[in-house]
Amino acid sequence: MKEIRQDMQVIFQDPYASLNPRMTVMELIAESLIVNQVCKNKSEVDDRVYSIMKTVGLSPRTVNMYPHEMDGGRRQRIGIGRALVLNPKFIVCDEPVSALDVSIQAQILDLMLELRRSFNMAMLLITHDFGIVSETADRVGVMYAGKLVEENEVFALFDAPRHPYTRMLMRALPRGTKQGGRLESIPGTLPDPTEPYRGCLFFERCPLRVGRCATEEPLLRRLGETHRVACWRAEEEEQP
Amino acid sequence: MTGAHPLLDVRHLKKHFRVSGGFLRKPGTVRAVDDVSFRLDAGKTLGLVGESGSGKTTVARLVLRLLACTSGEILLDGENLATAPSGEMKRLRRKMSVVFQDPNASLNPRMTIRRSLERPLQVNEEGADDPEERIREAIARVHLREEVLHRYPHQLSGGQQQRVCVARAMLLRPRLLVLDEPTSALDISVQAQVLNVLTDLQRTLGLAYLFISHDLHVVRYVSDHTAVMYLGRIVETGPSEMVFENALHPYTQGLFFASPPTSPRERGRRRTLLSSDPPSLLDLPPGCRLAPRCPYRTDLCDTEEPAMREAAPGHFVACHRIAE
Repeated sequence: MKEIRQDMQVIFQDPYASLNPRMTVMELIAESLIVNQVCKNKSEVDDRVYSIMKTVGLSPRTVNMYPHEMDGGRRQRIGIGRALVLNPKFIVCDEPVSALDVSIQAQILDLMLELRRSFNMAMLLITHDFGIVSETADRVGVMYAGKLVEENEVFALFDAPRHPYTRMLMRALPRGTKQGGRLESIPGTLPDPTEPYRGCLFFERCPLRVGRCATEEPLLRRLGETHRVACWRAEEEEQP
Repeated sequence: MTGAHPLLDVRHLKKHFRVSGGFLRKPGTVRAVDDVSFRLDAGKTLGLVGESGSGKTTVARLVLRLLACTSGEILLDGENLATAPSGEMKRLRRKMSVVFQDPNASLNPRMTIRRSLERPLQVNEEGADDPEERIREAIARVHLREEVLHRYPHQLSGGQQQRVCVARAMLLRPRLLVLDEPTSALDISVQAQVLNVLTDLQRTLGLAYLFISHDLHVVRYVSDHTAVMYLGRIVETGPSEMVFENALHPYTQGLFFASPPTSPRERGRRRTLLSSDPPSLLDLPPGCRLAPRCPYRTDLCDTEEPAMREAAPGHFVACHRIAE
């Protein structure tokens, strides 16, 4: 496992909670190199830390600073540096910019996209923000109550969502002004995950439900080359 | 904003916090809100936008007099909240109310929803004749069913909790509602529920909203007027369509350019206009506060603070580039 973990790394949401407040930037980034014993000596560790700091846009002056001396954007850069210093092939980003201000978000997103290209990594980005999805993703999976309900290539998903949950989410986003009309809200709430269920998990809230949905769970099935949907009525053209 | 007597008229509002010195730290003054003026008419929404540390929440707390201002005037219906004696505040507070960001933290977990809604009526000795009727009306206005009255906050979803908070804020029939990031803690589908409820209430009751948010899409959707704050100052304000369609201040432009698009078709439109991070409020630059980050900086910006100028009717901008 330890070996496999070198190829996959993670960036967390909260750069305030995910960094040990008693370690300096050098210690924080060097830690994964030392734990994984990838460097032969101290000077090689130093070299790799300095080089990754440059890659993620941290000034070498900050190397002996503690996280509390830095703002959210720089802390998230440390988080990215820690993840990338092992040259992973795959990186999981769990809401990587949700805790940051808009202008800082833009800087960090730019950096992540740039690094994805130069490191040629695969990225699993977890977010609730459709803006970030439209900016970064190639493919999108939409989850509801623990299940994947729709998956497609990003442009196709935004142009032609087929699952009622995806459709309603898209129309719940404020775009433009109030004159554009009311927002669509999804009635009801998530099902209780401790309750046993039969049928579709979205049944209670779905405007398209039919008798079958209450008893038979729709499985994810292929609709197009890139497109998968878990809904009995996904093929029908007529949708509200 | 038009109208001879706006409902809320804030003039030259300032709030300075003194920071005591400590080990390796100089004492100083944080100018959290520094000469902020705006007006809000009855039945309208003013959106207040800005990033962390811009002072937007401090403005909200000053307007509600949860904090005392350093100087300036806050006129609500012509009465100055800034200087009103504390004995008068209970009466004045009934004209205004507030909804906070985190509904879970603003409801008492040990009180049923009914209890939480009874409190404002009891404290203000109002609706004694028929409190039940008032509570039912408030619950219906936010599209909740009466069953929720017997529940405790933890039994409700975030959206339901936030609608209870809106109902509670409405109980005393205020004229002004301060909404401090009311949907930031909610999911998209639930955010839509709360925004729709707020829109309906404003239409039927003629409430004025001071709507604080960092989400530009939401502010654009709800606001008639928008004010953009940066480091304690309003840098641009005007009718929302002007501010959003024709942003003139480099900070406003920077914020808009930085915000993610609403569809992948707009991919690549986003770019970074503002460099680096905002300076500390303890150590502000002498001229324009944006100068160190601004792509259009000139020598004048380093020495002189730009005054608010009217770039188009009703559209005010504090930037030297607007002078010509």
